[in-house]
Amino acid sequence: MKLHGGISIADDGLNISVRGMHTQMKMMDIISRNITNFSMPGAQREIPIMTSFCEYIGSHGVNTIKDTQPGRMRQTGNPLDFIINHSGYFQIKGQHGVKLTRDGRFEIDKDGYLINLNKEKVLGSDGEPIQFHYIPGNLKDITLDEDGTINLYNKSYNRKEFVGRLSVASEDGTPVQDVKVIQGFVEDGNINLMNETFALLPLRRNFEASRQSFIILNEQTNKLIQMLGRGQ
Amino acid sequence: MFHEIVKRATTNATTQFQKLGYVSTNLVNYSTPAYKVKDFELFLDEAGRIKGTLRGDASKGAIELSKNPLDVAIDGPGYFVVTKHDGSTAYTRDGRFIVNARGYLSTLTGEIIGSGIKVPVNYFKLYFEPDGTVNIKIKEEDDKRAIGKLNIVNFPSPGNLKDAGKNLVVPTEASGSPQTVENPSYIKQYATETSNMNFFETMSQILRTNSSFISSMKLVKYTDQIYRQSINLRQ
Repeated sequence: MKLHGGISIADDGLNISVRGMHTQMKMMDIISRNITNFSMPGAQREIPIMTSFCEYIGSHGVNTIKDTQPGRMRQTGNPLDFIINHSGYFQIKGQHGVKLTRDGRFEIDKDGYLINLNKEKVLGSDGEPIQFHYIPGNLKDITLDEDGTINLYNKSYNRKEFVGRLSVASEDGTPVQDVKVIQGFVEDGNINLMNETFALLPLRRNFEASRQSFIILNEQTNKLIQMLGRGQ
Repeated sequence: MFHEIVKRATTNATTQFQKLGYVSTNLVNYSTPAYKVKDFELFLDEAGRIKGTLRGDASKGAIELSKNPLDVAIDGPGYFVVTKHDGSTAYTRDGRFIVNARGYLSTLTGEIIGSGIKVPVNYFKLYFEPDGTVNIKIKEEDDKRAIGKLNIVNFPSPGNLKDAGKNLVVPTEASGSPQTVENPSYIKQYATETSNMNFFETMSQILRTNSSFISSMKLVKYTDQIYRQSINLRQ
């Protein structure tokens, strides 16, 4: 800041402390998303990362990375609840192309297609939606092998009939080789509510520290301007 | 950026509250015979917004023994067909039957089973066969005589059936139309079906709903404090 008469005052501290407050808010925003997604099946934790130059570019310097660890598994006993026991995603046929999800809560619609809760079809490893040839009367007749093969037990012939193979893809869409899928479980996401709540505390303290330094710098600038005004 | 935290937290709190309502519906129907659990499942759409949908669990409950000869349970997939008072058709798995004033087999709430199975007044014993045939003996030494058959139907997607009150369900577009089960072999007399609610699962749902609600409210509190400190930045 340059005052009239050629006197310059270093006001970088003011700007930096404001940016600091913005940064803490942004990080709190990311943590709030984690808290909302707690126990959301298939949700993945986003870790806020403060990059260098945050003191110059403020909240634009905050980045996130996804925690791709498998989350907690919860047994439901529903034969149409699947989890992937390693990193990887199920492929869903969305309106605008293929979507990836770790949420394996599926249903069978009236035409026999395997669908997710958003009523979108689940893709098999051949790239086509998985469809049951006939509607199983008892869902317990549906069995899943570890490699993702879905079979349907046919009581009248006393044998398992092949239905389809679940496609498991990695983040860039390439198929995962050694697939391990388990039936009857739901993945509750890898967010730990306790850790997220704890992570809020230092953010608040950082915010308060930035605020205090803003107040102190503000007072000093104020004093300086007053002293200059009196001509001392 | 900051408005979003408050909005997201309040949305989450109201959603969890709504979920608690559905969980309590399941909880109070713990002892309703043949009640099917409806779970309010939350998921995230592409934009990261919370969405909810009802997911019916059509699995069979436990079969309990009873002493009443008019208690019939379906120990497998399917529904009984009943005719309501207004003449429309509905479906139920609640097999606690009575004989109404006009002699017809009906549900506890008065819906007639099938298109009407008339039970004679002075019978010795009533039999429900595993395939749904209703047989009767007038005297002890008589042979069994069929007076009707329970019609069992199933739906392509029974989880999507709509509740019609009085423990009855009606088909929706998502559930598909009813299809008759040919020669069922699992109709059981002297038995009722319990609800398929899992008590412990429901309790854990309540706990998780509560913790999510509390932490969302905490976020709103923190945000409010930061707002206040930002407003009073000059002190």
